[in-house]
Amino acid sequence: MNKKILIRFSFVFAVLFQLLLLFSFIYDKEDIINNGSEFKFMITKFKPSNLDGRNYICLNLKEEFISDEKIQIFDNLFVSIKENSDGFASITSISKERPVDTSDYVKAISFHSRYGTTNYMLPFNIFYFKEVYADEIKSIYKKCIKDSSKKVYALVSIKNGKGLLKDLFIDDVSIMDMIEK
Amino acid sequence: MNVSELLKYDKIKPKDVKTSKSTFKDEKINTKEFKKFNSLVLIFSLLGTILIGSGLITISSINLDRFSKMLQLIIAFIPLIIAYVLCAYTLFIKNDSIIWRESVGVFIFFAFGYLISLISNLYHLSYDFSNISILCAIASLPFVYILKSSTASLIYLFIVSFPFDYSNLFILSSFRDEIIYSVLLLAILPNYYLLCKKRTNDVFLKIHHWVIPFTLVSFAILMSSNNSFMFIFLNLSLYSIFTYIGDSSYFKSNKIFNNSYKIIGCINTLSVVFMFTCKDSVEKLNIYDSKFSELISRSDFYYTILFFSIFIFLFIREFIKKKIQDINLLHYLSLAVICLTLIELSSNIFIVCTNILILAYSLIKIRDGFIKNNITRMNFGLICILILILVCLLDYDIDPIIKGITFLSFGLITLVTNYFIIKKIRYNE
Repeated sequence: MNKKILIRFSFVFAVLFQLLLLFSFIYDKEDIINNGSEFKFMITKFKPSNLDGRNYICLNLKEEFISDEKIQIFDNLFVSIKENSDGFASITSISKERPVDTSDYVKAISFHSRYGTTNYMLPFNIFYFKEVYADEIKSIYKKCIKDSSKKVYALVSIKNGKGLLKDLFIDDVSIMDMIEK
Repeated sequence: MNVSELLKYDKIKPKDVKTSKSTFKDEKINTKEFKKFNSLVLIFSLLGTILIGSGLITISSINLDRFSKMLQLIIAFIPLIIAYVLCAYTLFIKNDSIIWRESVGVFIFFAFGYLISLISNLYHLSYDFSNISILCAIASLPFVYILKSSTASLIYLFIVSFPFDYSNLFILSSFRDEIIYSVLLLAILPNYYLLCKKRTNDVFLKIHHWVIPFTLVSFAILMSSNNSFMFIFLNLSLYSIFTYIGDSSYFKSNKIFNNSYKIIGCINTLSVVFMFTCKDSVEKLNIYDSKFSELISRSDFYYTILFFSIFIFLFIREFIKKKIQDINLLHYLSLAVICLTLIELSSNIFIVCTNILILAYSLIKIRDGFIKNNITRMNFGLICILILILVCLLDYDIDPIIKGITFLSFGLITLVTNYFIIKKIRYNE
């Protein structure tokens, strides 16, 4: 009898533990989206692809490399971000220590090094989209390649070193709105 | 004594017969079934669970595209809720069935992993892969213990070691990662201990015996890959601990090929020592490059101290308990190499010393095998000498005639010794 109660108790504990972790994970993301500071990141090129049934657009954000010999591969980096005069985000400094003066910074990881310059990856360079929109997004992508004057940027919200991609804009119109038209 | 005989001698009353008959029957079937399901039924049930899980996941992922974010989240929870219901059913009603427990354990991992990957899709999380898989592992850990499912614990081990080992981005880059990794590994060890205690002849237990040392080895190599001084200390002491575990009474009763700790410990110790018999690798490694003050600031220093102190403790314990010649030779070998690195020798003398050590080790093995009529042990020593000769021949420019003569004479020696030992065994019989 005692053992049965123990099993029931431990089952309830395990379920609650799992759900608690899940909701804290979701709450964390929602918190960044609702309360984080928003930035617009210029995108130099983007390309829709498909891997393992997941459709996504890989975004190449501007200035994703540094030439600093102290930084090695797989170092954790802190990238400070500031809004420039055009209204877009620009990177002010990159360091291995957490910046004290500003709260607008993102954690990044350096991953590739060649000829003294190191590439790093920001945590919001992939935009997942739904399977039904695959054809429309491909046609939009082809239009963007032909017309180079179009401004493509990603809306990102940042809080406590974590960044989340909210939406993708082409000439101030959300890509999802363009599709639904 | 049969039930009818028991009735004859009035040992039981007629009304008890019905119940006692059924229990007798059940016992017979249970013992038979226990042997059967171990292999086939269990494998097929696991396969079925994996297929059902992935089928559910694909069906729901296709239909999810049409709904809003909130609804998608709610639908994503459905497999997890089904998993909870099945888990409750298993725990409260089918608690004795190993098949149920194993399959539900796998299903919970699947359901949770699906939910997490869907959430990461919704929020466009790009390279949060290691965080997500670690979250999945931590969240499902209590179920491994509650369901006592060894398949689930194998999946857990795989998930835990995967992001650190194989995805290029997350090689133990910071102290925090190392702490998380070691805590996650420590968390599964009690389950392993319980498995060892309970089931002596189980397939999953055998897989555990191989998987756990492999994860530890990969952890040690990843940790110390930046510093060769640490590499020698950490790896040699870890492998010596493995050989010690392999020599313990629990593993010694098994066959040598089931004794994973002994095999892994022996092969890895020898390969580390063989690395230092080669001229190129010693010069590349720069053992004395780093300063002591630098070493202390590194996190792998503490792990090295931990493993090294365990090794020394075990060695001293064996030294007091056993005779000097009864202690495993590999312990002496690794201790000698560690001592050699502590005394700062020039690289040439270092190579000569390691060569002599391995030569002595293999000669003792050959002699031991010859005296105790053990063909495997003797040939093992011969193979060690062969590898040593090959490394030397690769290292230095030697006349091809001399190379040929060494191989020829070595082959002759192998044939003659094997012939003599077989003759000796036959004579003794």
